Amino acid sequence: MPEGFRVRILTPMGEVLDTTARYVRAPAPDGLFGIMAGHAPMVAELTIGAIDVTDPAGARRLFAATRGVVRVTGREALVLVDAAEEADAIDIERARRALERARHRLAATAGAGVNISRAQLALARALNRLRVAERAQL
Amino acid sequence: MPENLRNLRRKREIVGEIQQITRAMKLVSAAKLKRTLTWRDATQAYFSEVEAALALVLANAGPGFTHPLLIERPVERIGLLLVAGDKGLCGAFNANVVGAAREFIGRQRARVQTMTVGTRTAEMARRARLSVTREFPAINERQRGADVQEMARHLFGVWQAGSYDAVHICHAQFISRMRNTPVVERVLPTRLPQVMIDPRPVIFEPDAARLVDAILPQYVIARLFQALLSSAASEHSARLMAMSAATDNAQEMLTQLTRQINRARQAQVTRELLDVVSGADALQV
Repeated sequence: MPEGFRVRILTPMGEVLDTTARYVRAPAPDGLFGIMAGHAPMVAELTIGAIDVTDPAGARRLFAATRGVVRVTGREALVLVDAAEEADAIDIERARRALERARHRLAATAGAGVNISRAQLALARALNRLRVAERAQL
Repeated sequence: MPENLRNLRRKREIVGEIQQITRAMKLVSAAKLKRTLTWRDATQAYFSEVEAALALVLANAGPGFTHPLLIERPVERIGLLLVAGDKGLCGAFNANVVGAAREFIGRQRARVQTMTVGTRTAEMARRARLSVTREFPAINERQRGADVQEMARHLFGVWQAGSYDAVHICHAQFISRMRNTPVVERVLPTRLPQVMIDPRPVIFEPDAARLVDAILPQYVIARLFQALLSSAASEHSARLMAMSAATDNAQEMLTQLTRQINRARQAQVTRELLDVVSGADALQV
């Protein structure tokens, strides 16, 4: 049995995950990276995307997460993000509606400056949740 | 006299109905308080970890490193985020917080503008003739934190625009179920956490300075969550106490009314009896 380590996902709304994993894959702004047991202490930036947690038995769990950081210490990997949701907990209908709203807002505010990045972020978050939910269904 | 008895019975009925309502509100507040405290504890765990990560990253950001959210400047304009409730019926809870805000404003030489959280807060702030620039609704679980993120975006926005030289937050600090006290804390520029740092080498990806950019807003947002949840817990406990007292008072009124009703009914019976007896006496003579 491969070595496991503790993984926690914390958000301001509460703890989303606390488990033992063999491998965690997370999205950095310049690409995906992986964490395994015995990883050197690290703090890394996370971008909107999917966090993929593989437990020692090989079962995978998928989470849609927003921006934040991951901190790896000798004992655990700690994911600190604004929001995270497990794939099978995502309400696809709600995510679709959010996506529609974000598209709409983006089109409406095109040229308004400040709000564009906000609308783009909302769009990216909505898209991410949909993608993660759909990936989990495959 | 039967008129009086009827009035008393009606009064007792109404007091009974009011007591049912206050008792229900008391139970609802107790449930909400419990949920809010659970949420607050969860946020506390997030806050401590973000604080530790921020301290670690800042310690490695290099000498002379600074960040827009950390820069101190002479304070001429202050933004005050005034946090209280959406509703009343919670004793002096809202008034205490607004009172603390007024006292804080009175002590400042700088000009203070307020942003309010909670519909009741906004009403009270306007009545107290505070200058209100923005009104937010109180924190709501159903929003999954989107409401707090929105608030934070607004604060970062006005901070970036240079509208204020400092941003403070005035809210009720939850101490226990029986006690809360209004406090005023500075959120911007952010005071740095004093946390022990593990001296072992750490990899920073991409680099410590960029990571401050990512973590510092999270830290400020986590502090907002804490303040808002502390206020919400205080509000629920204040309402719980107010409704508990109201239920007790109603009970006392019910006891008294029942006693009065019994006395009135007895008086009526006695009077009728007297009538009968004196009538019989008259016949015998």
